[in-house]
Amino acid sequence: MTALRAPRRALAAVVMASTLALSCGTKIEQPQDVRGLRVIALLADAPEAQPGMPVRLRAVLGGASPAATLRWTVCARTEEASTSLPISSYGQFRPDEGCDGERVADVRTIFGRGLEAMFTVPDDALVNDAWLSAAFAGSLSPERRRELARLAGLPLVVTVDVTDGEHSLRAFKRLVIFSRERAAPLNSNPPTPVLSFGDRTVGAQTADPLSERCGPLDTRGPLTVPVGTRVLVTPAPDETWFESYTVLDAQGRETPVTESAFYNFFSTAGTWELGRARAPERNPTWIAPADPSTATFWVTSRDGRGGASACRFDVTVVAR
Amino acid sequence: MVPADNDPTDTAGSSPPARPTRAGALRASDDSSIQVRARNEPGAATRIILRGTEATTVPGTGGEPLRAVASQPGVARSPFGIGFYAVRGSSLENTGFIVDGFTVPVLYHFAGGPSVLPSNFIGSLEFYPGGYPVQYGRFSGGLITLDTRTQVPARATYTGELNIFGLGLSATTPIDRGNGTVSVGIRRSYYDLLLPLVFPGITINFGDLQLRAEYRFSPRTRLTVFVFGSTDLYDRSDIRTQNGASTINRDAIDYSFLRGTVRLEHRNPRGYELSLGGMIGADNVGFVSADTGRQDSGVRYGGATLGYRAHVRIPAGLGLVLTAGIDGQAYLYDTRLEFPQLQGYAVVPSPQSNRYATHSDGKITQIGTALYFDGTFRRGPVEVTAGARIEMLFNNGRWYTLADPRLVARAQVHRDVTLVAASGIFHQPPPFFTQLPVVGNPELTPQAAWQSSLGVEFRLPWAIDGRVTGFYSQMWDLPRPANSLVETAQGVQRVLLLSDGQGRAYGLEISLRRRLQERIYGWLSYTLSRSERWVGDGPVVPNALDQTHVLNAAASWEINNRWRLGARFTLSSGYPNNQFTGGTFDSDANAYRPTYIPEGERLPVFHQLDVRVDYRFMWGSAKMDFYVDVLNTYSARGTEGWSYQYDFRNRTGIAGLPIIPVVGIRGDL
Repeated sequence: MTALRAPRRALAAVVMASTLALSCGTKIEQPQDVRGLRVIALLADAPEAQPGMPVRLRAVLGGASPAATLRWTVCARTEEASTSLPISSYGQFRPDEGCDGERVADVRTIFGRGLEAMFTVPDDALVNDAWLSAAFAGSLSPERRRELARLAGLPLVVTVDVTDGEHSLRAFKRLVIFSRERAAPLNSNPPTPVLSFGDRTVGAQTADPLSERCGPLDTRGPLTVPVGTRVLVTPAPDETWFESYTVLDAQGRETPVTESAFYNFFSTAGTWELGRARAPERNPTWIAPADPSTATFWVTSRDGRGGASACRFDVTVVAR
Repeated sequence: MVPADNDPTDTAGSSPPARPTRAGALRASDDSSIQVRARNEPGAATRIILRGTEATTVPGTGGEPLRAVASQPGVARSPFGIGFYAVRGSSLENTGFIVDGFTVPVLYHFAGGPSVLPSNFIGSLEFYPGGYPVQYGRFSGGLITLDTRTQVPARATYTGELNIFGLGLSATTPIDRGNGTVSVGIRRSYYDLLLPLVFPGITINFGDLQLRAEYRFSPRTRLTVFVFGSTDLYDRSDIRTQNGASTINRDAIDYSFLRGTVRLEHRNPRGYELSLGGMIGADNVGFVSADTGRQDSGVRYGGATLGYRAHVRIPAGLGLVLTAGIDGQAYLYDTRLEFPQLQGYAVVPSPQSNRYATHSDGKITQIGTALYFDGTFRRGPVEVTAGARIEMLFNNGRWYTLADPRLVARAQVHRDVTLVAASGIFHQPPPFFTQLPVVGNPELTPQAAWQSSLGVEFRLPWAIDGRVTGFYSQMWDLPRPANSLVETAQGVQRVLLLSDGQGRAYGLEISLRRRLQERIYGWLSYTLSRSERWVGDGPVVPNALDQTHVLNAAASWEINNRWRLGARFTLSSGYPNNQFTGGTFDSDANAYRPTYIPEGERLPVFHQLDVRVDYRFMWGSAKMDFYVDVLNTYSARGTEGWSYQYDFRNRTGIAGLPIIPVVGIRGDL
């Protein structure tokens, strides 16, 4: 809905959109196709925390070589007002870049250079004026910011920089810190998704909530499909884990919200007819490549408030 | 308002400037049109008048006089030929459209379509790239004013026009033995019939209607009633995105307005003038965007608008002419908003941007009443006009007093050379779309520009008029995007627009024009300019539509009484563009946020050649004009923007309009 900001610009945007079909030039890759180093998701256990609590962090990577190294940092920064608003021509309104760029405060390094890291929330997190000023930018008094943090929580940003010597990537996620006095329970991650892959069922292979290791839950052996096969991939409709909570909206009003499930699908080979899935259109079709190979799949599940889980499994594509 | 050099009481054929009728176009000796006079309108720094043959035969305009504005000096090229102009470094919304003294929201139909008024309803079109006179206001950039007029024919006349855009019909009949006329017109596109054959799911259509009556009580007193309206619809749904993958969604935009105006004009033989006018109208604007299976989200605003105007011109003697008047306009709009929730406080975004909608109904009330006056003093070769416009503006519960002093001086230093200097303040109320609740800021203040220019107008041999003008404009209180938490009466709120933007624009305009003579007319205009914006001590960046060089050349040759051949060439610098350097993965939203250098690059240079051929003939008693107006003749696929890969590492150009041959026929009976 970027068009809503300015009718005249909106008119231009509408015309531009209608001519996208006329675009030409470089081939544009689709987000569900993993063809090199990618950050599939960042997971935190738990996605919400209180001062003094340890938080376990994990990066789910795709296409990473063993030489890949990770650097974890945490900071507070000014959030975008909306992920769908246009970018200013005034050099303002910069997008999120994790713990880098402008409007970042008090960057702290988290010890851990592998896929996992531990971060213990500082005891003074909710009274750290540098963090509060960055997270709640504007003409507010320090007392007002602390009050906001008590009511709504303080969003910290966990950033990971990944490099494998050839490529460098940056990814971030938010970690919301609430006061110990808050009555509402902290958010927890959704369970690792259970999937139907054609006529097979795929699910978690460990009890570790941050592990992405999945595989067939039946005893029919590894997953194999003939080349060119169309496979329907469907998350199991077990969504009893939805939680209800309250947020402060942009107008400062308390708004009740219930979690939803957001699934995303990725693979290193083949193609997808739909890369994003959410009820009711949550059943993407994967088309196996034309040549025999092994395809690695990732399916992520998000609850829409920072909680996430991931499932990774391999499929062997065989000749007919 | 009657231009000083334009007798409102003239009758068909008695007024020197020819009106833009195709019947007139048949005559090789038709009068000139795009005029840059050494003696221009008092109180106006620069006024460019479009009328007659030159306004209706410019290649690339489809015969639309209003489209010819795009190739005038000071006008930046607009993307995709949309009908809004960035003039002298201002933004698109800073140039206003006035019809018979009152504002209209749009002058052009969507998708490069024609103007909302057919050419045979347009008496004259005056384009002010800056420094417009005190009787107008509420726009901080340029102004396009239309004066409607119809000829008084000896009998009923009928006009029909058919081209690739649509079908138009109009008729004019004399009443009371030629003391008045009644004219009706209607047009309807048929995009919606043809476009789905090429782009399934796209609906574009437009329509407009006109009803105009004019009565002359005496040779010097005229009453005009004009009702006109326009509607446009664009609806794109069920369109798969690039490469046949991804989502199915819907975007729609509709725009409509209706105006009813009444105007009484009287001119005294000694030069006194009185003009009274009133207007009532309605506007309706809507945008919709949705993903399949989701509730539509969008904005709709509109409502009633009212206006009135009184203007007097008094020759006071001793070379002094005084003008004064009052000009009021009110907008009483309702707004309805359904919008993806903005980022709350410490709220983690979800992968679905419009997961929850904000519903908000509101009102926008804007009432402006302006008193204006100026005096023009002429002594010998010198003419000085000084005046001011004082406006009381009520905008969303707040009052503003806006003072716009203006000064224009001319000095004829040689028979063929006139110097022109002008300076003035121009205020503009916040545009409506910036005042919407939630996504805008109802508390925005009016923006302003201090425009100054210095130029020389001259005549050269071979019927060539020239003008060289340097301009400088300082702008402040501009609405600019923000992301700030502020204390309000309702508590802490996130504000997305603030009124603290600043800007400046400066440049040089050069134009050479050959008046229609010996069957040939043409012009060359070049603008060198720079337009910049900033906030506080922040970086100074070029404005979104800043174009360093804009060159337009047009020429038309009437080969004989049947054939006319013309061409227009446009060359301009590319727009500034954020230079994306990659993306950062936002794991919570499963989306990439671009990293970029603000305005770090420009789009490629744009160039386009338009060619027009007219063939005129008689068909019975009907004068026919068959024309082929080929836009973008060599199909230069200019890049109007970039479409980015999900992670902003690759991009592909969004091509501009391809070659568009506008084939049409028009008949006057």
